[in-house]
Amino acid sequence: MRVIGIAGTAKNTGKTTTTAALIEQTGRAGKALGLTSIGYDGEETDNVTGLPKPRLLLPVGTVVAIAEKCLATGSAKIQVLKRLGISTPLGEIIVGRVAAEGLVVIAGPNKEHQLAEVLEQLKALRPDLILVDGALNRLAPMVETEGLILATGAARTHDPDRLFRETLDLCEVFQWPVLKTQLMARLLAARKQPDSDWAISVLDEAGKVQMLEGKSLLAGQQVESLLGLVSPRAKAILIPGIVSYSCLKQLLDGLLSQPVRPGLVFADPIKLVVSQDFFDIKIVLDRWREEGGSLALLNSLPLLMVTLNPFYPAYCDSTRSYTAAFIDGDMLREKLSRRLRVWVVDVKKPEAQKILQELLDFTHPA
Amino acid sequence: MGNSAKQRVLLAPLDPVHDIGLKIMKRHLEANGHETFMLPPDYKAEEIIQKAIDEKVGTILISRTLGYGVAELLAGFVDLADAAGLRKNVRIAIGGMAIRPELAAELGFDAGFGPGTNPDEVLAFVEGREYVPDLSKESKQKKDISAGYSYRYKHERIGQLLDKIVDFIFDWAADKTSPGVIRAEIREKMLRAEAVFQAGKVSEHEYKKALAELQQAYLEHSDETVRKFFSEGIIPAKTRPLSGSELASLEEYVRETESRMSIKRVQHIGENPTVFIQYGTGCPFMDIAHIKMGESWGADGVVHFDPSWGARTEGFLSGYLTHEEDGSVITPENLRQIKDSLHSSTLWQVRAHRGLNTPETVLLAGAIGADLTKINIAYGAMGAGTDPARMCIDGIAAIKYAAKYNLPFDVVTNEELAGVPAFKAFAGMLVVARLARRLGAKPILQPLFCYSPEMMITGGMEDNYVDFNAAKIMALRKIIDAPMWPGAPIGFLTQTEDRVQSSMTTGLHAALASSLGVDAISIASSDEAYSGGPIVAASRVDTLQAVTEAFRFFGHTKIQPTAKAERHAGEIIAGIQKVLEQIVEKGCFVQAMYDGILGAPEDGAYPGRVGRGRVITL
Repeated sequence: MRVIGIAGTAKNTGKTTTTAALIEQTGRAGKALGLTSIGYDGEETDNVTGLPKPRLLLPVGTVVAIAEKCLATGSAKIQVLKRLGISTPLGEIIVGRVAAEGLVVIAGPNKEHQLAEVLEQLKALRPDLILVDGALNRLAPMVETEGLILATGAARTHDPDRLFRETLDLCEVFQWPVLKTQLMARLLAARKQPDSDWAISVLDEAGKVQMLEGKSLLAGQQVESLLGLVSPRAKAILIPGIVSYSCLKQLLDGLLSQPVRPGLVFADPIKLVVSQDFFDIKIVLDRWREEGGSLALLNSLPLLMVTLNPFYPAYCDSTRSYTAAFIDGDMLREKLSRRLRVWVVDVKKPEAQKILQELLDFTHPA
Repeated sequence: MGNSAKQRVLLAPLDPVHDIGLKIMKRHLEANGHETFMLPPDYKAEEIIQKAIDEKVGTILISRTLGYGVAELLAGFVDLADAAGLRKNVRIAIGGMAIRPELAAELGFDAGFGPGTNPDEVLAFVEGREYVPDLSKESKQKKDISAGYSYRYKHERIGQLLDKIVDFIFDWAADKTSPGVIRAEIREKMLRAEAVFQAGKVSEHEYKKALAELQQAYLEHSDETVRKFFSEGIIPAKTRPLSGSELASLEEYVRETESRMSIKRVQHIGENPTVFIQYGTGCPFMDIAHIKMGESWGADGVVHFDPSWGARTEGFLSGYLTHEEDGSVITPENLRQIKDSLHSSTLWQVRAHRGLNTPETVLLAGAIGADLTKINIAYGAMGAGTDPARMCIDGIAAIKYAAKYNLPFDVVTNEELAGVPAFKAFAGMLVVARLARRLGAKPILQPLFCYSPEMMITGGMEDNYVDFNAAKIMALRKIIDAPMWPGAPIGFLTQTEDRVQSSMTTGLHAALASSLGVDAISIASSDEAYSGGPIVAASRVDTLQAVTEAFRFFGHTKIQPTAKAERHAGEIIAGIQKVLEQIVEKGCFVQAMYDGILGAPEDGAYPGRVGRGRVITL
């Protein structure tokens, strides 16, 4: 596994701290590192709360893909190797190598297909590990990575029970099974051209595939048309794009009123978790399963680790500023560890170093 | 890669309220032949994405004001669009008051448009080409504010009286000189020697020898303070040389600042006056920081203020000196440092209107590249403490240098602040202006725009600040066709320690000046009258912004004074004529100053004593 993404569930959940800890651990393990970001990070202070933010200290030899304007901002010396012709609000993306250690502000490609291109370029330089730093709560471009670390914490919500439930919900989607090869082959065969996009499709027991225009399910009329294609022999429904809560609810209500229980297939976990109504979506999907339905993915995105940051910025009325506040992270971490099949870590704790090493041993066996 | 083909653009206010920015863009895009789809406010992200898919648009423009949790909301929208596969073919930009490129990058947009965005920038984004700003709108050129005036006297009688008085001055001064004039002559030789050496025409040894001789002669005509500085290295109190590292970081500061600054314009219409700010913090470093700040917020010119002790001391020090109190020390090195830090479009005025170094100040200003200077014999003698005879001799020499170096100069009338009635101050100003014309120089009249102390006593400005200030311009216009530069600064005695109030009154005085069609104004910072120390940089921005807003607000609209203005103007003209007749009767301009004709003790004016008895009769 070469490419690991670090995504956050909100601002201040500890993406950059996690990235910095991984950079340090990679250095200790003597591995060559590549780095990019799907947003803009590395400022000294948060541009909303004014609280200090961790910055990224990059060792000599690290290869980076960053926007041109970042070059002048950090203290590291970066030798430009290639210009990629990908433009961002902070200038063209360049690939470079750190020539003198220092702090680096990382802003990179901010969309999925650009990240794919940038990763190809970084891979060509053959680092042992490539990290993709997240931005805010953004996740979509992370489908281009090979494994994901989810940074969450009290900055998302400082209600520990709610944070617990939300984290379980998010992580659960990443653990859904991948569609059986045989069914996948049928769907693949039904596409007009091998390289064309997936479309919303219904597969029946006989292997017949019927398709709708488009890949996302966002309009009520589309749901009507889709329900019209579902026969008692329907085996699977593929929604390769995104889905709105209201459309999904309309679809499942329609299906549940019939005895038919086709498998619902989504392209990858990201397509669901990017929805602003994700937790409502999760409720109707859970109900679908309780009623005998099944869920699957076309492509998996392995969730490797959850990092839990007990910090949150609390607004203080008397000083009219934000101050650092904390929830009981140890208790929540223990509760999550018992329920999740991945590491749950507070990267600021002393034991984190050992766990990060275990992670690297797992992703990069000697 | 330009694409001016017809584009389909979705405009979506991701906001509870409609956004005016999107409406402006809708109009601009349609005017440029593109098709737009405007969504009502408060649509859900999924609905916007569905619309973009249905209408097959190439661009989505989102507008949103920032607030709690909005960053996540916007990033979520971008994510959803990405996950829907939209971003391969559709570009998404965000606009709003709090948007900056860094934020747009963090949120994942293709571009971000903040306040002050030119609609053409967004058009370029939609058409997929690089935005090239129209630099002709931004670039600034120095303006000669004295250009286009004939200096013709419209009031014949006053013109005749002025010529008579100037004849008296020439007669009186014909056989006189002063240490100040002599030092300026020596300085001229020093500058010439330097030029000859730099041209490689003499050896370094010869140059140094010549310079040492000239320096010796210079010190013979200087005060003890200056002699001790050169012979024993004793530096006056609260003054010290800048270190090498301070100078290096100053140069770095200027280089770095210029690399990221842009020049703004205060003026809204061509008729708005040129705007000057004043600097003189004592520290060249701080001065330059203030100048750069002024330039980037629209100041057209900057005025160098020297310390008051500099005006009372015979001779200049040398080197890069910083001073812990008001006023920045004049040395050739300090002036060169400041000159090198100025933007090419910035007008630079070095004041020389008072004191014992007036001729040498104008000479240095001219030689080092100033654009303007400031000279007034009457003010220097009646308001600034220099002996009238000495000020007259030094003033004539200074005006000759101003003519030689083509430095237009304002003739300031700040003695009005001491209580001298405007008509007396104006009489002195008009004498100096006539003298300047006879010597081939370009004087600029500087009536004070203030809450005039004479009016405070008589109650003449109780109703408004407009009539009397307008009357001054109307009166001068009836007398002569000459450039005018009210100051200095405008709004004097109307400002308080309240920065909003100070900015407001400055803006209104600027609007009045513009309405009266003057050529230039000098403005104070919003804390200048009450700073009790170096002024705060932000307070410069206050008044520059206030003036910008005032110019924007009024445009070509005129301010209409009441009938009282015309009456005041008549009184001022009559007063000026009376004073000039008294001088003619006296038969000597200098004696008239001693005798209080241009401002008497009962007005609050006393003939100055600095330099008294140091006029040399040949």
